[in-house]
Amino acid sequence: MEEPPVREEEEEEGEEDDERDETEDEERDEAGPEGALGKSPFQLTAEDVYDISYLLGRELMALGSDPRVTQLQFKVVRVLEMLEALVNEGSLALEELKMERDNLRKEVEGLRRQDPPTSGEVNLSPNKMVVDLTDPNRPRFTLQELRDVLQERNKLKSQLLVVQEELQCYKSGLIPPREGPGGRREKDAVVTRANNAGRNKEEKTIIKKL
Amino acid sequence: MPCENFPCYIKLLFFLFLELKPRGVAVNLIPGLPAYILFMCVRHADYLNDDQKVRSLLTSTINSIKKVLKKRGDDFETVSFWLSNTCRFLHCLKQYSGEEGFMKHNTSRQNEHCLTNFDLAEYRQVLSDLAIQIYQQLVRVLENILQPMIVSGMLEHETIQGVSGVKPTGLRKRTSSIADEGTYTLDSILRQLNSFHSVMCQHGMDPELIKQVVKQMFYIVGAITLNNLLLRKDMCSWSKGMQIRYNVSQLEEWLRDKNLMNSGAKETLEPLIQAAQLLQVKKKTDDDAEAICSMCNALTTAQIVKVLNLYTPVNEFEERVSVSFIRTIQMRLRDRKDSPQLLMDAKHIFPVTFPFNPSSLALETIQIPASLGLGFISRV
Repeated sequence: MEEPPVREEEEEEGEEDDERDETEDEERDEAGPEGALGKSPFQLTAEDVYDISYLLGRELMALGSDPRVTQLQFKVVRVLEMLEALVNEGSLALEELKMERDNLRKEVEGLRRQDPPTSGEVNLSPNKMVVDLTDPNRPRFTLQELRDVLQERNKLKSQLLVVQEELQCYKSGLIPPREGPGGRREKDAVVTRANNAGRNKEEKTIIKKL
Repeated sequence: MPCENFPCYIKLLFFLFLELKPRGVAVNLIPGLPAYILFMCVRHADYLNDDQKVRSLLTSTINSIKKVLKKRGDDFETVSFWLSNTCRFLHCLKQYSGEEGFMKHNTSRQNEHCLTNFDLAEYRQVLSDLAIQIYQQLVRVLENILQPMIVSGMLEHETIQGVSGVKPTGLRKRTSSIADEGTYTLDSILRQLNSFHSVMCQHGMDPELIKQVVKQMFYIVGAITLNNLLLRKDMCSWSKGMQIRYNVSQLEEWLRDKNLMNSGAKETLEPLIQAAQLLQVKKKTDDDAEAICSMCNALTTAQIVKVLNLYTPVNEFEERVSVSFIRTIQMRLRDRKDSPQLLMDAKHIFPVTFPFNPSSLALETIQIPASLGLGFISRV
């Protein structure tokens, strides 16, 4: 049997599987049956299995006609038939996947090349929104603007509460009008601090809600 | 023994002949398997002493083989496969015929398989004729494949003179079978011969038969090459002679490599070899004439004269062959009883024989592999 000729590695592009298939065909023709045994199992084709069958058959026959050899022979046939079936199924699945991949690629290409959409027909990428500019209820302010406004409102609200309490105290006579700044401030400080704590909590809750 | 159900024989034949591919796990591992299975059906019908069954089986076999060869007769693998199996079937009919001459190499177990009731010598003759037909069909198929490569590969493509173009990069380590110009090279021819040989071996074709096929192929290559040379002035130069001799030596190398030196193939190239030598020897003096006449015993006078007439010098220092020299040659060869025909008969097919080739395979060990899809046959 002749030695398989030395092959130069051919440059292959990344996903040009068709080219690789052709190269494999040529390699098989040149390497002959022995080449099949040296292949990766995942690149095996049915033709390789047949080549292997021939090789094994030859060697088995050389062992003579001992019935044990013949029994072995038919068991080997069975095993190789199973291999053939697996390889065929594998390559069928591979073909299907390739076809699906090619179809999807074509679809993507087609989509990318499409003209900008006319009104009523919009292609959105995720995280995008369409706004109708005539809608009076359309969103108009940024989150930051809203935050600022709410903070100011909260601040004013808490100031209002303080003022209302003070007024209440004046009305009920609890606080005589215009006491010394220290005492009042202390009391207020305690009250304010307590209230602040509550208000802070409120502010926090409001801001959290934002 | 295979099934007792007669209709299943018909199914078997349908399947075997029309569906069975010449390449598969079972038939590659056990060459001749279809023939053995067929024979076992015949053996069973004989055992049942049912001569109608035997006759139907044999006639259906022969008709089905003819049908397949008609349907797929252009496919070299198919023709080779059925030639191998027909021969194997024929050998089985002889080996298990019960006739002493064919039983010399049988084991005692094998002798137990001999036919007991019927003498099928007549059918053997019919099968032998069928095998000859298949062989001739095979030769024609192979010839059709080789034909386009011959003139280009043997004569036109130059490997040893300066090549007209630079060899394309990336092909330095292997000679391309199709050169830049899209023509065939000697390498194409060698690869094709390899493919033929490999397929015939895989089918378990008798080695003696393979030799005959190869001899026939070499004859065709030689004849077509020579005929072309005899018609073209541009092929009759010293350098072409050199090229042809190199190509022939490559073909001989191939024969040596495949252990086919005793096939008679090389001898069929003798006319071509001598024509190439004629292109290279001196062609001036009387002694030259004598040398040529004794050397060219495989060429006819007409062929020798034609080559000398067509001979084209390679450079200005060389002269054409003189008319007087050619006259001298003609004079010396006038006593030869050559055919006046100039060209070789490229369609000639050597008569084929099928020497008896018994098998050591023990029939009782044969099982029907699942992939043949013959589940309806069960061993009895």
